[in-house]
This record gives sequence, structure tokens and C-alpha cells, in this order.
Amino acid sequence: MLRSIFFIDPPSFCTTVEGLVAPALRGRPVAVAAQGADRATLLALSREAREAGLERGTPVRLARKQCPDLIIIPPNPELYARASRALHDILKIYAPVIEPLDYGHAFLDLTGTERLFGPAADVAGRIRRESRSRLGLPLSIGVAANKLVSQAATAVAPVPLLEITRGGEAAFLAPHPVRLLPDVPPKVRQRLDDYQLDIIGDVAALTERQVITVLNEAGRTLLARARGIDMRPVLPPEVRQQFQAAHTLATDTNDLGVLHPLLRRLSERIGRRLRQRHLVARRLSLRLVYADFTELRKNAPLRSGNLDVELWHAARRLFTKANVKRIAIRNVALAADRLLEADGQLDLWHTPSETVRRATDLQSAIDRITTRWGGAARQRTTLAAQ
Amino acid sequence: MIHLHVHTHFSFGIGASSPEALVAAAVERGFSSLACTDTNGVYGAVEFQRAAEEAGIHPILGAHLVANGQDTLALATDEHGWASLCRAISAIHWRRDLILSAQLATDRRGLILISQNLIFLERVHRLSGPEDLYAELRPGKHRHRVLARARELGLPAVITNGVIGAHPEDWNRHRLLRAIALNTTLSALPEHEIWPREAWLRPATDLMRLFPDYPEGLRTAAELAERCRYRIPIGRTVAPRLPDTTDAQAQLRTLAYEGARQRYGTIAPITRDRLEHELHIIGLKGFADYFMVVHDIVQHGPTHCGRGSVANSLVSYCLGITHVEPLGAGLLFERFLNPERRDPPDIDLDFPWDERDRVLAYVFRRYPHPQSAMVSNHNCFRMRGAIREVAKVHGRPAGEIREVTRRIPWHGASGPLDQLIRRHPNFQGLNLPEAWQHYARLAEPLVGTPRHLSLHPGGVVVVPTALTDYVPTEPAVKELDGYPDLTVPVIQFEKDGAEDAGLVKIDLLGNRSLAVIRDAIAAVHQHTGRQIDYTSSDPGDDETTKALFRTGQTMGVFYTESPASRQLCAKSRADTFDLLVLNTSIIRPASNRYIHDYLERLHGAPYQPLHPSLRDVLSETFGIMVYQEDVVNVCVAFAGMSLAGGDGVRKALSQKRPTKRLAAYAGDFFAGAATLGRDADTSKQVWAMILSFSGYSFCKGHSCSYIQVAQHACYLRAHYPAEFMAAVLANGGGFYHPFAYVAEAMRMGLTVHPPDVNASEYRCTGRGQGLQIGLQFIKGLSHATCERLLESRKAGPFHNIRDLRQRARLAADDLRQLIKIGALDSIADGYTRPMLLWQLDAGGRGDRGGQRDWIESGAAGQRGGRAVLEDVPRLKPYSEERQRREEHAALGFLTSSHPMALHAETLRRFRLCRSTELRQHVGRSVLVAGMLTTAKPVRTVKDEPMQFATFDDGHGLIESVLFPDLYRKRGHVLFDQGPFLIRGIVTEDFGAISLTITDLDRLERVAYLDGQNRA
Repeated sequence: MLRSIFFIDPPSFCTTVEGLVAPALRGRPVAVAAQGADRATLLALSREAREAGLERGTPVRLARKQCPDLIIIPPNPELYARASRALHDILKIYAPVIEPLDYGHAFLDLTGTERLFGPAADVAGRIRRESRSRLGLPLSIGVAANKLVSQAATAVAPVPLLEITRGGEAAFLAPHPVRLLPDVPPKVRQRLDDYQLDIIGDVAALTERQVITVLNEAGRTLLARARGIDMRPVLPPEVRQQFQAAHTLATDTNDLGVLHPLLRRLSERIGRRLRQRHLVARRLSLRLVYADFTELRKNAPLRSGNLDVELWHAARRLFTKANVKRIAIRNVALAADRLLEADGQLDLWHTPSETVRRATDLQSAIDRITTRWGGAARQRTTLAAQ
Repeated sequence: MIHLHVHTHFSFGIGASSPEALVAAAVERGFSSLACTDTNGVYGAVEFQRAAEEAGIHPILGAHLVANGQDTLALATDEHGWASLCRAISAIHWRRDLILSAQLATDRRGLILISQNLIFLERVHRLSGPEDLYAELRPGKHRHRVLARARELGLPAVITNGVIGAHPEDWNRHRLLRAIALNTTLSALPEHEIWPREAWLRPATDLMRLFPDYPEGLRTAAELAERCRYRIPIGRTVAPRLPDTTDAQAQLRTLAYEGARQRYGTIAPITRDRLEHELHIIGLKGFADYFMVVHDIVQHGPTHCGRGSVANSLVSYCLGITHVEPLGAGLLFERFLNPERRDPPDIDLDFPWDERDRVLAYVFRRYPHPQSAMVSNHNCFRMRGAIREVAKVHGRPAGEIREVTRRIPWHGASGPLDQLIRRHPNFQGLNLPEAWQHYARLAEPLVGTPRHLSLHPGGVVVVPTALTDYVPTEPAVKELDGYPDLTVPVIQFEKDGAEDAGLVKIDLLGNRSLAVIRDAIAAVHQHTGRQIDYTSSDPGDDETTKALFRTGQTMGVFYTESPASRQLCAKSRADTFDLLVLNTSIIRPASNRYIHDYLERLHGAPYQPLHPSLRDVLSETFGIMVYQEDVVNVCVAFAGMSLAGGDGVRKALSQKRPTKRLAAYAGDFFAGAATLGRDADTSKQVWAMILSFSGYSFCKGHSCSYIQVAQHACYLRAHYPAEFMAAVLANGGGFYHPFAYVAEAMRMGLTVHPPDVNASEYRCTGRGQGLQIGLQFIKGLSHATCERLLESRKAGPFHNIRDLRQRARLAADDLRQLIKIGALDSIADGYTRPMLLWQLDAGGRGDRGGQRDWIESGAAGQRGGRAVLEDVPRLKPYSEERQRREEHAALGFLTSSHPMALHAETLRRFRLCRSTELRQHVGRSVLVAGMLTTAKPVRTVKDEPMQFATFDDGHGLIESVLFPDLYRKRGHVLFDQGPFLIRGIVTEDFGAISLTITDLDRLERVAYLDGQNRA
């Protein structure tokens, strides 16, 4: 399915909002920083302050020297939260799904709303106008098929509204520096610097085999990102929480006869929710809380990412790794993260093997039974049957 | 009542008071005797004995012995007792499993044992009877059990107070020391690790009140004190002896004459007279054996340089111990040895720093422990350490502590520590929390408190019998390089204590420059076939060498390379042996004001010595006191003091805290001067000149020995610059940072080649006009890795990256480092550095068990490995700027250009004056930029801090001075290499150019602010 993702970026949000309540601040170099603290640094700054050469993280003392007429105001989190809520109220009119990011910023997923509201660019224009007229808040909006490109669009363009058309992602990203790509681990960044690969286009031009030989799995993700492919879903935080499942045992125990079935139930719950939302998870984490309230966490990568069989196997492996203390277990928690949209999967990877396809088919059959007849309709035999 | 259990601060980490403080407190409280019983040591016995004798109370020497759960006091009644005590202490340190009762039961003649340890008392009683065995009663509940058991055994009991401080308030410092010693915080310090609050030197009446039930315990203590009569004999000499000699004097004579024939060919009468005279005195003082021992060491050692007063002896010249001809240099034997001198003479020998351990090992094998040992150093808290430790036990984070301690000057700071932190220029703009003032006040009294034993840099004592009869020994932590199975023994006395106890010290010191000369000579031999003989050749007349000295171009040349030395050489245009000796000796901390006089007079200004009586004494030094000898001679000539008295003044001046003894000598001096009718003002001036020798100063023999080494080094620099500079860098440089030497090498016209896997050795090498940087400078590359690489290269040069990795089995990270700095460029096969890195990463990681590694498994073909390797994308080469950045990060300097080139862009924005053009701007204010080469904080006559700094702007060196005003304001800026932007006024003094700085700042800061202003 072709998606339509917006990234909403109100420039200098905190200081602009401060300017809305105190007009005297408008057009002046303003920065937000904690007051009275010795080592305070600038948390947010206005455009004018940025133009004076200041950055986030500059120590207040140094900032005052560099820009003597800098106005420093204490952080006012309630104000920013209120402004964020007001902005979101406008966004909610158009977007069925909002993923807030920091004060003011947000990803919107408008996939499938075209019939209702018209072309994405028009919607973006309307959002900007409404925000300006109702709140006095200017917005930059990036419109693209995924999070990566929409966010990049606001980061690079001097224009307040930029739509990257489908298929144009790679070409759009190509001339920009690699630091624009999100979620690249520091070690990979270091390597890219070693290879002098500092432009996204240079990375995108490599073959997949080349990248994998030097960067392993991290290379696969990197290459996809460099080519503008990004299947991360837009999810509100409350939905993300659905992919976590925990259970506190009535009696602390070490009995595998109790713990394994529990783990199985938890993994199946997560699997069902992932499949319902057409998502896959690239990582599963397990947390054990022991009777003495010490905790152990383990995590493992997932391949297919939403089949009960795989989740259950991964969960059991993690459990064996984490269950190393001679103390009874009190609480078990599983969580799936690094979520991606399931649809894009087949395009990106090689064609699935016969076993994978059969496992998928089996899973859909079971899901259908469960949906139709309820959870009790299927009975588990022994694990050996698999 | 007498205190028999007293810990001075030589009980490391326990005692809070110095022997002097304890003795003073004892006098104040009316005690006639006082014991010194430090834990498992007699480290401070000599100091204690001196202090007690000066204060007129009776010292009792002993120790508190603690080992494996047993403990006892042991007091020496006589010589035998002292020897037993030394043996027992040594045994405790050498044998981990020592059972104290067993050791002392069999070896306690002359010792009085006093213990509160019941097991110890019972066992010693059973094994060796009740004689001289006493129970110790300390305040507290435990004493009742001790007393009961003592009565059962029929042992008398003695009352002590287990003293750890002179005054009640010292207890807080005791806690601080405990926390520091146990490496914990004050709040976490366990109760049982602390001694009681009452453990101070309490008056007798206090203790009487505490022990109403046992008054005889106090009487017994007094009786025992009477019996402990032992004192360390001061002034006796225990000279070393060669193991298999019978008539050392005759042997020495034979050797001396043999040597003289070799040195001189024919022996002139004047030489013969001197030789006979020296041999006579040596025989008289009984030092023939000593000479033979040193001769034996020199015979079995590498290139060396005998220095110090021993250079004044013709015998040592003939024996090959020293290499300066003493008659020609005008060196008097009496300065080394004379019938009046009571202390043993010092012989100092320098060896190449990397061969010194071999010499030590030879000594320890030839005179096995306990015949020989090293002299110890009592490491005391200095300001940095004291405040660091105090902050640590208060739980301050390491980063914050470092910020404070690195700002505390090593030298030349005075006044209280809290004032220093508040006022000193280095602390400008640091905004320290208030708590640091408190720490500073706590740290202040710790300064000077000993914290642990370490080794004297090279002092070795050798005795014919056993050292443990005179002083306890301990195993040192140090391992000799190349001799892992040899434990280094160390005596508990410091240099001064050893001397007082009559142990003759031989100094075997490491010297980098001898290694430089050795390496350069070897390289010259290898490259040209020319063999330069270090011991006999004389480079003094070489014109090229002289020209370098004269112009101060002596960077890398031993002893004359500091900015002060180079500038003085240039100002005085000194190039002869005599003048160089004079030049290097006159540079002392407090002699600045005399240097100017010296220069004027050298250049022909007429002068009068301070007093006519000094004309002869100071004739060769233009009426200025230069050498240590001058102090003695002036005291004799001007104030009519005896030679011994003059020598006393000299010794007092060279000590760390000379004030007290010096005051006495000052009295003698002025009295003597008055008797001879000297006018009071002149006397004061002469005395002031004498005082300028405090701290450190040189005897003429010392400077002569070193100038000879310097001339050799300078000769090599003049004629074989590549070999010489390579040797300087290979041996870890000297006064300057490697970057300064590399910059100098470039100025000398040498081409500096960056590290290369086929061309580089581990150390730097030089040949012709090329200087090849060695692998030693690559950060993060271990010595073992380099060894492996060089070993595998013996089979032939490497052809490409695969060949290199296969043969040298390098870890990926090492290879990465080598690629990044371009060490593989010569075998790159057309690949750029990024492409080589790519190949490296595509090849898998050798350090990861080799599973994915095409080299280890030899499976290059199987996994399509070779195909993978050849499938390398085109990656662009590093820009020149990036190459420089990588090089600078890995080496700390640049081989292709000067480090200032990294900032060329920024520098273009300023109108700068080059270092080479300064001479045209004398008297004017100029703007220069440069990296900080070296900085030296000093104090003015008025005791204000100021600083000399040397900068390198890529064209040459800029000598500069920050006077107190500016140093206070801007001194804190000079904390790393920079670069800095400097404004100053050019001055000229005797032809040498210097910059008086009026303002300075970091280059990037100025550039940034400048950019701001333009915008």
C-alpha cells in the first residue's frame, strides 16, 4: 500500500510559543535554559539566536559572551505542552494516526484519506494555514511516502512545505550528507567516515552485497535508508505499548511447567496484535524480575517478525539465557520493538522460502479459527509435534 | 613515666606527627626520654635521633612489629639489639608467612620485647624464657586480660599509650591518613581501622590517673627507657669491598698507572705528583676498595659518564670512571676527597637509560642481598597529591580533581594552599565550589608527610657483610627491565639517612642522551663505516660543532637544549669547553640577576668583585659565584671560615629545608666577616650571592662531565643530523615534545618520512638527509604488534594488504590505524586509503575468532572471498587536510608539514609577523601565532609568579616572557600546545631576540570572536 506520511516541524517551537504569550520576545535572540544552575546549557533557541552562532547545548556562560543581548528565559513545560495539544487538535482533524515527537513535532499518517480531504499537498497547506491563523504558529511540513523522507524534507529545504513524490525519494536524498539518515549506529557512522562516504547518494550507489560484506546486517538497513526506503510505522505511543505484555506470578516460582506456558501466552498475545496491525517487529526483549526484585534483560533479533512460532522460540531462548539465578521468578515481561510495516517486507527481502510461506499460511489458518471460534477452539498438543 | 610506644608519620598511613613535632611535644610535657616505634620500620630513626639529641632528650630506638596476627614492640638496647631488630623487620617484609614469635624467640639478643598480644607472649615465653619480655598495657578493656595472663606467666607489665599524634587535634589528620591509606572515603572508614582519640602524647599524670591499679607499670617503663642506650653511630663509614681482593690499594695503584699510560702515553711529573697525592689520600681514608668496586661496575657496564665531584679525581679519570681530564679543566681533587671531610664521597655514574637496569642487575648478582640494596626515597605528600587525596576521601569525582591538581604548579608556588587556589593565575575562571577551600586547608598540613617507600633514582649501597646489620631492607615493587626473576632490595633509609649511618652510596642513573649518542654512533658506523670512539675522541675543537653552540642551535643536545641555555649560549656566543661549563652552571633558579652582570663582563665591561678578597677566588668567573666550589672558597676567603665550615654551608644550601642549619652558618659567616673587618653592607651582598645557590646548583666537575657529553651530542648533530635527530626521537626526546623535535628536524633541512610498513623500524631511523619515523609513535599500536610485523618482514618486504595481514597476523584495529596514517600507501596497489579500509572490513575481523576471516581459514576462494575483495567500490582518497588530521591524531605531529599548517586557513585572516622576521621589529609591538613548545613558570625577585614560554610558528622558535601582571591575567590560557595568537613587544638582549607578551589567547577563540564581529 502506498503511504502518505507528513512530518510536522514547527521551527523554534519553544521560543516561538514564548513569543506568542510575550510579544516583546519576537524578533529577538531568545534562548531557553535552566536558571541558577552553574553548568546550564541552552535547551532551545529562536531563529535570531541561531543566527548569532549559538547552538543547542552551548553553555549559558559562553552564550552570553558570544551574544550579549541574548534573552534567556526559564523552561516552561506546561506552556509548551498546552501549545502542543492545541496544535494536535488541528492535526487530528485530518490525520487518523499521530505520532508525537518532542514538543510540537509529530508524524502523521494520512494514508487513505485522499478521497476525504484531497491531495496530500493540499492537506498540508491547509494544516499550515490553520495553524497560523488559529494559533499564530508557523509550520514546516514534509510530505512523503515514509517517515525518513518526510523528516528529511523539513530538515533540508528552505521552503516551508515540500512534497517528495513517490519514486523520487532516492533522488531527493542523494545529494545530502549521510548524517541526515536516522538510526545509524555510531560505529557505522565512523565506518562511513573512514570510507569517505559522506553523501547519501554515494551510499545508495553501492550494491547490497558490497554493503553487507563490510557492515553486515546494519549495512542492509543503511542501504535501504539511503535509497529512501523506510517501513517504520506511524504509531501513537499508546499503540506501541500494545506490543508489550507482562505478567506477575501469583506465587514466585522457578517451575518451567508454569513459566513456559506463561511465556507462550505472552508471545502469542504480542504476535496477534502485530498481525492485526500488519506490523513486524525486528527485535524481541524479555525482562525477568526475580523474587529479590533484581532484574535481568535480554533481547534478540527477529527475522519474519510476527509469527507465533518464531516469537515463541525467541522468547524461550531469551528465557533460558536470562534464567540464570537460583531465585524464584516474580514477573515476566515481553516486548516487541523496531517495528516495520509488514507490507513492504516482500519487496525488500528475497522471496520467502517454502517453509516460511507454509508457516505464514498455517498462522493465518490458526488466526482465522481463533477469530471465528474463540481462543478455546484450538488445543495445543505437545511442542514436539512441531 | 616514659612513652615507649610512639608512631611518627613514618608509620605510613597511621602516624600523624613528624618526629620533630613529637620531640617538641615531649619536651613541652616534661619527658626526659621518648621512644620511636614505627610500624615494621625504622624509616625515620635517623631524623628522630637527630631531633631528640638537638632537643636534649634521650631517644629510644625501636619498632612496632606486626605480622600475621601477632604484634610486639621491640626496643634496641645496644648494637646487637639494633641488628636483631633490622633482621626481624627485614624478615617481616621479605617473608609473607613469617611467624613473629618464632623469628624473635631465636634472634632477640639486645632487644626488649613488649607486647599485648597474648599468643605472642605465650609462645616467646615458652621458646626463649621470660628474659626481656614484657606485657604491654594500653588504656582500654583489653588490658585486664593482658595483665591477668602476664601474672600467670610471671611477666612484668609496662604501660604505654600507643601514640599516633603529638596533640589531641592530630587525631583528625590520623583519620584522614587512614582513609587515604585504605583507599576509602572518610564516611566509610571502618571504626576498627582507626586508633583511639586519646592516642596522643599525653602527659604522665593523665596516664597515672588511668592506671590507678598498676602504678608499677609506669615505673617499669622508666627503667626500660634507661636500658635502651642504642644510638645510630653518625660519621662512621662502612665502605663496600670487591669480593675477591686482598690488597685493594696495591691493585688500585697498578690500575691507575696502567690507565694513565693509556690516557696520556707518557706521564708528566705534574700528573704523577697528582696521582700519587690522590692515591695517598684514598689510602688514608680507606676508599681503595670503593674505587675498585666502581671500577668493576664500569668495566662490566655499557657507555657511561661519571659525573659530579668524582670528575675532580685523576684516579677516576685513569680508571675510566670519568672522561674529563681534571688537570686541564682545573678541577681540584679536594672537592671530591680531603682529609678533613667526614662524610663519604659520592660517585655518580650515568648509563644509557635503557641499559641501566642491566647494570643494576649486575651489581645485585655480584653482591647478593643482603650485601647490596638500593637506597629508598620516602615519598612525601606534595601539594598536588595532598589535595587530590583529601578530595578523594571526600568523594569528589576524578575529573573535577584533575582540573584542580593540574593547575597547581610543581615548583615555585608559595604560601598556603587555600590562598593558592583562590589567587594563583592558573585558577582564573575555574569557579571552584567552596568546599575546595576546606580541602585545601585540610591538605596543607599533609604536605611533607611521607606516604610510602619508593626507590631513589639510582642510589645503590654495598657493604662487605650484611646490610641488615645496619638497616632493614624490603623487596621493592620495581622490576628490572629484562630480569623478571630478580627482586630489587631496598633499604629503609633515605639518601641522607644512609649517609648518616655511614653507608656509601653509588649512584647508577639512567641518562637518555647517552643512549642517543650510542644509537647515533652505531647508525653512523652502519651507514658510513666510520667508528667514532666516545671515550677518547674530542669534538671540542670542531668548528661546525662550535658554530651550533655559539648560535644556540642546540635543540636535542643534552644539557644545553633548554630555552634558557640556548639563549644564554647565543648571548654569550659561547663555544669553548670552559665557557660552556660556565654558562650551564650559572643558570640556577635564583641566579637571574647575576647572569646579566656576567654577560656584560664577558663582553668586556670592566668590573670590580664585591670585595678585593674575592678577586682571586672568582677570577675565572668574572667575579660572580658560579660553582658550588665557589661557595666554599668564598666562605673561606671572605669570612675566614674553615674548609669544613664552608662545605657545611654548601651542603646546607643543597638540602630541601635548609633554614635551620643555614641560620647557624649565617651567624658564623657574619661573625667571621666582622672579625676580618669586612664592611657590613658588602657582607650582606656576598651572603645574598651565596644564598642564590639554594635549591639546586652545580659543582664544576659535574658541569664538565656533562658538557663533554653535550659536545659529543652536538658534534653528531652537526655532522650526522639525520642519525642524530632520529636517535633523539627514538629515545623519547628530552626537554621538548616530539613535535618540537620534528619541526626542528625540518628546519635542519631533513626530509621527514611518515611511518611505512616496509620502511619503518620500531624506532626512528635516520640516514643522509632523511628521517624515517618509527612505528613507536603510532598511538594504540602495541610493542608486541610492531615486533610481530618486523619479525615477519625479515622474509622480505610486504607486497599488499593481504600479504601484510597474512604474514604479520595483525589485528583489524592495528591495521586500520596503519592504513589511516598512510603506512600502507607504498603497497596500496592503486587502492586509496578508504578502499584499503574497505578491503580490511570486507576481509572479516581476525580478532573475532577468525570465523569470518578469509585469511585465517585460508578460505579466500571458497566463500567467494577473493571476489568479495576485488569487489571494492571506488572510494575517493583522503584530502590533504584529512591526511594531516589523521597523522596528527595518530602521531602527535606532522611529517609533511608543520602542525601550524592545520590552521593555515584561520591564520590567513591575521597579519602575522614570522619568527624569522622578529629581528627587524625590535622595540615594536607585533602579532605572532605559534604552538607552545615549552613553558617554565618562575618567580621574580619579589616572589611573584611569572613564566617563560617558547612558541613555534612553523618557521622558527619564539622565546617569550609573561611578566607577573599578564601572567596573572592570561597565564591560565597556556595549558596545552595551542596554537595561540600572541601580541608582544620585541626586545633584544645581547643579540638574542625575545618577545615580551602583552596579550595572548587561543587562536580558535580569537578567530571565532573575530568571525562574530565581522558578521
